Amino acid sequence: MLNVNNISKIYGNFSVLKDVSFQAEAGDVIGIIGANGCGKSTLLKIISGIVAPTAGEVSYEGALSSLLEIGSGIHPDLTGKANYFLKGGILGIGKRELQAKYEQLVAFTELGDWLDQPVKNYSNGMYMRLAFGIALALDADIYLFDEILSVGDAPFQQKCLRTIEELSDKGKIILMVSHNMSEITNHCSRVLWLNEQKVVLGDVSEDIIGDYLSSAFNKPHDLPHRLEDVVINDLVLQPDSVVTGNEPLEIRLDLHIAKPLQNFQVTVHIQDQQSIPIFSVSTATANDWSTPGIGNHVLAVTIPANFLNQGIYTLSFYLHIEKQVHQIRNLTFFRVTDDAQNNQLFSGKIKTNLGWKLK
Amino acid sequence: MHLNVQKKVTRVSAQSYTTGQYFQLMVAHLAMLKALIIRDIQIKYAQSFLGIIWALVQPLTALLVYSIFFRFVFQFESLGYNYALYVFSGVLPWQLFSHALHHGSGSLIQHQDLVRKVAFPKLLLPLTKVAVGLLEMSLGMGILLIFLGISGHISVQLIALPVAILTLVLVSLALPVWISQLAIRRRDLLHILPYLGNFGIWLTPVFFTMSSLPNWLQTIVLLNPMTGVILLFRFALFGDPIPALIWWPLAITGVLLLLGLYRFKSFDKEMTDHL
Repeated sequence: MLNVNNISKIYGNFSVLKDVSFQAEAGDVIGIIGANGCGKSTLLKIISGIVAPTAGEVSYEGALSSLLEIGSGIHPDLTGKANYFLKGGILGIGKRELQAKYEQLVAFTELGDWLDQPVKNYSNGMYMRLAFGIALALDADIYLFDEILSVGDAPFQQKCLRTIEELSDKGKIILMVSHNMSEITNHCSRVLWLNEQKVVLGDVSEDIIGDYLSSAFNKPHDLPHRLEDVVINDLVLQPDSVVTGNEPLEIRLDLHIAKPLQNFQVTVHIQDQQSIPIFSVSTATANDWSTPGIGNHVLAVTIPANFLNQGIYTLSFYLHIEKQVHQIRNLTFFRVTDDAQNNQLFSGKIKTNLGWKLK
Repeated sequence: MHLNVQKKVTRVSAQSYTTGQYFQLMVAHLAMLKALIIRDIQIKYAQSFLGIIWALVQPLTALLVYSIFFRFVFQFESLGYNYALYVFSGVLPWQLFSHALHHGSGSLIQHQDLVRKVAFPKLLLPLTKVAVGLLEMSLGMGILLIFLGISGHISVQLIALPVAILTLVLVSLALPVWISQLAIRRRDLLHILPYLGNFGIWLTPVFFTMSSLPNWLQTIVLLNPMTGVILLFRFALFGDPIPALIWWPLAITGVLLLLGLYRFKSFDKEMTDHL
């Protein structure tokens, strides 16, 4: 039983969480969703006792295990095995218990002899296996996972999801933050949506996820955007804000120019959901770009098919007007899905096929 | 079916810990303290061929250097005991103090990844550094005792050695407990540490004896709590007299330590927000 009562968190003048309350019963798998910066991670940190709330109380029975970030407390110079025993000790597990569960870790992570190698030689996926394996070694009643499945390969993700189901069958409580709606619909019993105005908790249904998607993806935040000389009337993502990666994606900007301009450039930035820049396209490098005159214009750029890997991306614009730069950050989100057979062969955010040749 | 299985209830709130709660929390995390100490040592000696033997090599070479230096360069043998061992008995406690000062003061910032990802009483971090320093010192202390035994200098005062060590640990904790929590907001404090360490050793009778100082300087040096600590060690190991004046600075340091610990536990829950 987990009780979260009127939790609020304020950093300086900035309110991150406001009056969040919910209860979880044994066997619940709760998916936590919400836009970037809505306080999902902060909520998990408060529940696990890492960050103190500004007001409110959390109470629970039994032990709690949290995997909030991959690799926290894992030291690169030590072997996987040494890290397991150390991290286990740090989490308060006795040496004998760790010894008894070591075989379980070996089986779960499938790392084999790699466990005797320093962790700095591990690939991302191996790192991930070790971290998840250690989090499971703590026999807890409540498990918190913060976007753990966003790294790692597809078979391992499936394994993690199966493990989460097994934990739920054993009567554990699981809270997981995820941006992946199919994970939420397929594996969670309930969903907690942290929305600026309200907290929505409900059974997993098309309704709540549909509402979330439409609020997050289809509503450009602050359009029309009025600058001194330029008004952006509309932003259109085609064919839809949830796009399949196998089709080209057009980003179109409708704007109105009110005064004659000497210099006008537009740059669009694509970032992933962790705000890591993926690429940008600027008119400054376009071959046949000339400063548009007074009137209505449509600017368009097309992201080719099979270019972006599956994931969630944000769009930001930089407008260079005369000597000033105007930023319009995180204007909108879009999600790229991919149903190609070979999609797990591409790691990273950009799918390229530069073409190996046998010479 | 199990009936009435009582599980521990945990509550998380904005209320800062009471002294009793914090003490219980520390006791519940003793296993973590042990793991942190082991981790520090493992990381220090990981992937080196000699590994932990280095911890033994360092005091031995220091002792060798002092022996050569004081026998042939300064020719200090007239004092009636081995001057190298005498200096070494001051260097060892000073090294613990210095290790605690440098690593303990920055420990919350150094381990902020842990502070931000794991819930635990943060006092464990400066404590870990003092404990690691203590373990390393005990190797050197063992060597010192062996050499003292060989040269037949061990006397009944040796029973005071645990008191000297305990005093050393408490004095070594006082500054890191204060600086580590204050440095979260004012990191400038960490830049002062090298000066404090380099300057402090010359206000402490590590390389000189109290009797070699003029009277006015003796008074100043006696105000330094580390002087008291080192004189306690010299009492236990060489039977040197203890001036009554050392107890005042030690008592004041003890009060400062208690105040620092109290502030630390009151500030503990907020620390993550500032890192």
